[in-house]
Amino acid sequence: MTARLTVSASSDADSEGRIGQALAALPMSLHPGGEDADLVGLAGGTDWVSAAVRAIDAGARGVLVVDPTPAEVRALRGSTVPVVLDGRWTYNPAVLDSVSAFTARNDAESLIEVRADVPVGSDLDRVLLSQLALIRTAIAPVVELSFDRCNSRGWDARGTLESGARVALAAILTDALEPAASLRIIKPDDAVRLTVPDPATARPGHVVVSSAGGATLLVTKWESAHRVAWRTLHRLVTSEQLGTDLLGFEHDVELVRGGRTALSAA
Amino acid sequence: MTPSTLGVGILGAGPVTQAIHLPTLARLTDVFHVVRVMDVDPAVAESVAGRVGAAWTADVDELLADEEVQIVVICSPHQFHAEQVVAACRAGKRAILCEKPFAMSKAQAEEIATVAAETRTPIIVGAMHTFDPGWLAAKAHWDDLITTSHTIRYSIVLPPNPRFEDFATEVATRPQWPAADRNDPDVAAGMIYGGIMGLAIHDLPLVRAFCPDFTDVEVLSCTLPYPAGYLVNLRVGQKDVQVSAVNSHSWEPEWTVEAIGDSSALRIDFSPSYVQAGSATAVIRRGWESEVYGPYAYNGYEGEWRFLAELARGTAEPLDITELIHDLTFALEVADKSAAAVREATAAANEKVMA
Repeated sequence: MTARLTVSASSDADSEGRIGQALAALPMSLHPGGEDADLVGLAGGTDWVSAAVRAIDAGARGVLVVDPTPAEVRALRGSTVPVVLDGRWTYNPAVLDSVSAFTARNDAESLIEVRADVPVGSDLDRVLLSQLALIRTAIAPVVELSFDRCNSRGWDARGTLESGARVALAAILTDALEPAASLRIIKPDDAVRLTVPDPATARPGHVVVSSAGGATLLVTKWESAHRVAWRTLHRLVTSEQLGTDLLGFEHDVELVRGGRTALSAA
Repeated sequence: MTPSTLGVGILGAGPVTQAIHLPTLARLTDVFHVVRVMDVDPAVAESVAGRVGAAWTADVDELLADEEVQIVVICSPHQFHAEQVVAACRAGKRAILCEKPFAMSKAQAEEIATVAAETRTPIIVGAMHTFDPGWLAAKAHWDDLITTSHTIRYSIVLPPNPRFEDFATEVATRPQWPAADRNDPDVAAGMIYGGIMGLAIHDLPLVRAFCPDFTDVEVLSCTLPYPAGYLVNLRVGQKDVQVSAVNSHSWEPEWTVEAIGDSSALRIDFSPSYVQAGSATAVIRRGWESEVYGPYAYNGYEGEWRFLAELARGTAEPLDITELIHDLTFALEVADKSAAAVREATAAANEKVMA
């Protein structure tokens, strides 16, 4: 039988992460609770790390952070409480389903393109972290990053993976297009294309794997990324696991700081 | 063929003539008939001419001297385009279609402009997507997107050409490309230059349409993908531009141009070249609403031939050749600067390996 855990969330977190909707879609696993809830949902503003530490000190068994801003996470490193970072795209089920197709094609001859279409006025730091998390989750971490440009309209940057694969990263700020991310790996003989919608919608992401023999659309799943993130936190807590979000996040934050330094020097 | 149809002479009978222009002309037999086909390889000239019941020759002058040839289409290798356009103008032809690029330098293009003005010969360059009904419909409806767009994206994933050529026709001969060492900076630069002037050039006029300050070009980076192609990040005036192409056997061809602003955006998906698969589909999005134009029944190649007929008959105004020169100089600048960037990057990578 599924263990039912209680959840509390700040109003900011509820509004940014549609937490009420996620709980309503997981009634056997999660249930709204009070101050002593098992799980805590936090907004990813500038003080999210200290808020997470406070929640854990107060007895939370798991923490979910919605769209975290860059932060030093050392204070959480030794904790035995799982922390799930609910970025914009990583928990979309299409991302998880794309992993084997992407990783099988990750080598020095691969070109990886990742693009985010986000609303005008979006927090660029958060978008970049979500983009790096998407690449890390679907393929592998970006190990080098430099910006060709970064302005109020978005950015174009170049990176590499440990395999030698080259990555072109782009963000476009616009209200004309639906918020979404796309990730594509192209090789001389085949390609994989992933498109991921906004985390609040249950419209499916798509994964298409193509070769000279044809193109295959992988199974589509009508589940929002937020719901998957909460399911993941529930699983980590009940199986007494920690997850890897914080470790990956720490790596990406260091990379972003290095990339920005290179940009300002350019 | 009827007395009222326009006589066409073709210079160069390679795959573009065989798989694009002849199948397109086969859809327009009430407008054109092919009079003569020229190729430096007599066997190819004879074979291709035989498909349409035309005469053949291996001599440019013989084709230009043929009075039944009213329209000349130039599909020869790039380096011959300028001299053949000039010669066709001097031969008194009624209109000329030259495959892109119509010259390899600004000086050549200006010479063409002078001769075309002297001889009053209308010229069009085979940038087929500029004649595509999907593009033309978008142009009529995009309102102020030229000024409001800030980001331009032009992306191609190109399967091997024979995949589509073989659906369009039975090709007699194909050029062979020798393998090259892409770690050699000059080879890498040559691949980028060839990619820009041979492939990107198709839609650089469309990119330029959204870049009023097109003489202010800065290449921010240039990457040479495997096995070939280009990925160029550019600043063109105030616009953020990315031009990319990758050759891949994967079964998802893509040929798109996007212009994106804060509140409206255009995306055009073009149908593959060679096949008669109708026009591009253009989508103009404004937030949660979108307008879709196309696909229409015919593609840009047919569009350019229809326009050519109007020019030859004097029912359409000739294109402003200054705009064609601007298209060329824009492409040359992108190609030159991109090639220089990849040459430098390749040399630096080699030094890093040696160290």
